[in-house]
Amino acid sequence: MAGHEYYEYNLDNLNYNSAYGLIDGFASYANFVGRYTGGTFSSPGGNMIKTAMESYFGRASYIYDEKYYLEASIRRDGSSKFKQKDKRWGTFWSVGAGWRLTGEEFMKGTNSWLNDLKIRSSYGLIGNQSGIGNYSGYQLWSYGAVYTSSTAGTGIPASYTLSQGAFVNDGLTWENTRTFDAGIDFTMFKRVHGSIDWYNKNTINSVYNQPIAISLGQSTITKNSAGLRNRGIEVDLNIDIIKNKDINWTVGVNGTHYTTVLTKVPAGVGSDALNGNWTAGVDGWSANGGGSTGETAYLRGVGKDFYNLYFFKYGGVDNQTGLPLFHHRVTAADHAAGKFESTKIGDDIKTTDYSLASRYEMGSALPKWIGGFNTSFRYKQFDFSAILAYQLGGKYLSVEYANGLYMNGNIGSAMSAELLNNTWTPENTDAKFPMALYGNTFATNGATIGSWMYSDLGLFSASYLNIKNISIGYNLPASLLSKIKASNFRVFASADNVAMITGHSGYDPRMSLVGGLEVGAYGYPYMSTVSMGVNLTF
Amino acid sequence: MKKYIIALAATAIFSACSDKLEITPPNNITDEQIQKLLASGNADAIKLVMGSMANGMPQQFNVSGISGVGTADMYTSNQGLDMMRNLEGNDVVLGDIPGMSSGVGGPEYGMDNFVAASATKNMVYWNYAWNCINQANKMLNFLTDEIVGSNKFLMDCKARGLVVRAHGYNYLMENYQDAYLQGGKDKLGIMLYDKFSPTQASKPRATAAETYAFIKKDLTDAVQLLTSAGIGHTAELTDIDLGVANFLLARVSVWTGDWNTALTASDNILANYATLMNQGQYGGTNTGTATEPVYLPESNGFLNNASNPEVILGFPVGQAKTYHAAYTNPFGEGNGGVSRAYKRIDNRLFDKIAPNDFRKGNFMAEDFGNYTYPINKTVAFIPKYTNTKFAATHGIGSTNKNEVGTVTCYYMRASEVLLMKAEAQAQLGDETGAKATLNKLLAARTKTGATALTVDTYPSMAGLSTLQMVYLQTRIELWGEGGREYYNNKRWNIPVDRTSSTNHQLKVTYPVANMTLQIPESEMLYNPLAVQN
Repeated sequence: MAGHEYYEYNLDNLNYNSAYGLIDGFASYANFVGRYTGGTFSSPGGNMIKTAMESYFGRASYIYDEKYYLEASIRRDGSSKFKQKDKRWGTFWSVGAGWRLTGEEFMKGTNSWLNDLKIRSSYGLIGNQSGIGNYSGYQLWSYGAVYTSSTAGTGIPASYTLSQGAFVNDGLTWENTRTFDAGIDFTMFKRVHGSIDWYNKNTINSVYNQPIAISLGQSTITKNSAGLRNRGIEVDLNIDIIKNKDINWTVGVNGTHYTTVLTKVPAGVGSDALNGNWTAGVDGWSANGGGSTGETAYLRGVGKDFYNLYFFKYGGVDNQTGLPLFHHRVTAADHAAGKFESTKIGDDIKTTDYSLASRYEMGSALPKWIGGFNTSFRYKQFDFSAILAYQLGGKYLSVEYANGLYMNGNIGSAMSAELLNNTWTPENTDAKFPMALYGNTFATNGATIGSWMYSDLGLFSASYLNIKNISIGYNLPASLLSKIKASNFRVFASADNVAMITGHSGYDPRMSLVGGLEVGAYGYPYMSTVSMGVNLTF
Repeated sequence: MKKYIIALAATAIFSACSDKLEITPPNNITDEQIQKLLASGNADAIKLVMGSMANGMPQQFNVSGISGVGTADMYTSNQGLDMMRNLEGNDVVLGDIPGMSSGVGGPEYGMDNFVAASATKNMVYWNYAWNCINQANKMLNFLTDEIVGSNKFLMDCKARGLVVRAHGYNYLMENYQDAYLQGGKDKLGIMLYDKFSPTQASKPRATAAETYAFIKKDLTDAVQLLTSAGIGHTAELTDIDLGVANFLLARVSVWTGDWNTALTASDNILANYATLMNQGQYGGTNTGTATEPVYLPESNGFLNNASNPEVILGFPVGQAKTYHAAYTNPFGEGNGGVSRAYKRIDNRLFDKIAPNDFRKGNFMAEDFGNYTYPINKTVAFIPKYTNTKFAATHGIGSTNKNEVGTVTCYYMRASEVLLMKAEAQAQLGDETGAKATLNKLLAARTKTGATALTVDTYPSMAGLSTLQMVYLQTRIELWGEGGREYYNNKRWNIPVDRTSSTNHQLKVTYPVANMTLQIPESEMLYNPLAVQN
């Protein structure tokens, strides 16, 4: 099979009130500043998108004797997202092979219990351009005006403003990912069906927003300069435990373990102060990619997990003052200033001076293992099924706790019942939580000391077991169906999101939209629903 | 049975006519387009491009959208940054209920940590100042001496860039190092970049002395360029003219103890700003009744530049950022009003204002009582000492109270210049001159009909040194304006000590030593040469 594909997307509209263009013959709203009242639009606007993609591709597959499988593909893609001609095209390919061992003579002896066994593997190079903006290689300017009438009245510019946007890297190209996959599919005793897959995806030139000091002009420069490795194993097993006329019972279990690790970063990333590592904020969480924040949430580095949470460490309550204690890692600068000299550099002290609080690696937001169970059981006309989801390992910072429920000074707002009789008082100096001070002062609650400056007080295990669905039903037997001239009659009850078991109540790790944290208003809880009904078919 | 499934593998791979993939941004003006205009040799086009860049420069004094801490305008506008500083002093009281939240300035008023390298409320100051420097450098990259030559238009453009860059660096020095005369002189300054290029090598911090030399050179060059270009002092408030350049030069000079320069720069300005605000223009006046107040912004010089002959740099309705008005107007729908984060004067300063000084009328001597806010009909109690300096019940040009908040704004005014001059004179040992300068201000602030106040008749100034008189009058005159009290406290070595106040909600103390911010974490991490304070 071979093919050629060309794709072009064009969208074009421009408000009628655009005027005062900067560049002749450039019909883009960005080139106009007019502003008029009384119409549908108050200022120049519109939208123009133009992108193009061209591909050539071919694929061949070969199967011999239902035993040997071969497949190869190759494609060459060009994208308008890349500014420079020589960066625009990429060649990608894959080869794969499979072998059904149970088709071989020498496997005859195992036929009694091993019904099917196939091993397979593939290797390839795939390209990605999805994270790259449509015109990322162009340095942009913005054009505006100051108007003669200052209220939103007439649109005659008194003077124009023009400013140069951020510096860009115009040499971006396709991200290349080397993928390797090996798997095994099997059926045993005609009842046990399973597959196991191991994969390794190495992105060798991932597009990366390399942080730079803002004194150089901006906070990041984008480069094809990072390496990222996704590696994991997937297991899927289904067992027909009982299979006869009256009873049918199957159980399924699946799960996956994966890691995301940075393997390479550009020179200059990372700081000596952090042993070559660096801090990063959370990714955008709203649909259009907005909402990201540069404020620290992760410590990243080569070989480190990508979602390595990085927060302050709560050290309990100071028995004397009732104030929260925070861990501080003693530095050479401390010793030079004559502070904490009895503690070794790199060791911890606890202090109520939150301005000294140090950040610590708190573990990954990613689970060690995540998956589900399902079972269905039928006894004569009755049936039952359940679907469960689980996660083992991983950390979760509940912003709701850190910014709300543990804010012991927020009188009048919802607070965690854990605080009841468990805040410091002169009589209760061993309390878990600091003294409740009236007034929303950051540093006195122990959970947060500023915007996006959380301690691990609100950090919980992300392990959970969730009962996603339970349903029971009863099907009217055929003998009765014929009497009412129906072809099917079923009474059922079904419940979704039945129960959630976590290490600590009040949060839902599934709400993590940005790698280990939920974000404010976006944290709508999952609904629990129960439905009952009758299906009747004539 | 053998079964073949064969498909033809691959085809010739063409790197076909890639012109179809050559797509320039349809929605934006690109660098290539600008370079083409500049290369055209067309004088009008060049003037349009450079002039349009230069026109953006004054807007750096009037900014919103600073990145760093969320979207609250307290943290994203330079007026908000100044307001945080206003709250970190002795003279402004926040509201009459303790426990105000972060959105209305509670943490700042409580002197919550704003200096740590990791504090986000530190980072915004850094980001704001660097944005000024970087925006200026982007334009200055185009304006080398060879290109500017004797072209008056380009001289004007360059001067604007230099002033904005100096403002950015001065802002960094005021925040990120001890005051020059309080030990900062021998410490580190800021890394000095005279061009914009994110790919250039990071620089180490220059010394404080080198940094101020750089700032002063930018400002004196700007003064020179504006003079040569014939710009002088313009009546236009929104532009960067000699008044703006000299104002910054005077401010930098008093900060660094260069009293002679402070004096000449001040005199240059004052020669063009002879008239000060009169009693009718100075703050809000109730033309309604006690229960149905009417404070019209049109007549209030702090809210309407047309009623303020002192404004050197300001912006009209539409361009003006109105955050300061929202924080300070007790009848407004913003934090200074309906949210009850009233900005009140410390009773200790109030008591020092002479009875015949009309500035005393800018603060409520008695509780105003309940006021019904127009939009939601919320009723709230406005307490004694709340300012009416920035009070308005209406917006400019509106008779509808719901439209309260439409005002102009200003960033530099002549009274401050008068006070900088008096300070310079006192420092130079010219006691008579300093007193005469102060008397000029006091005469202008005396109630109509009363005998003009002087340094000798002003009751609370008895027994003060001339310099102390300047300090006191500066605190009174510039109350609630531009965070000036905080920065002056820093350079005059006046700690925050609210313990003896009767109306402060949080009677905290705060030493001057802690008024210097640490270099933010991000700079420390990504500039290998950066050294912490």
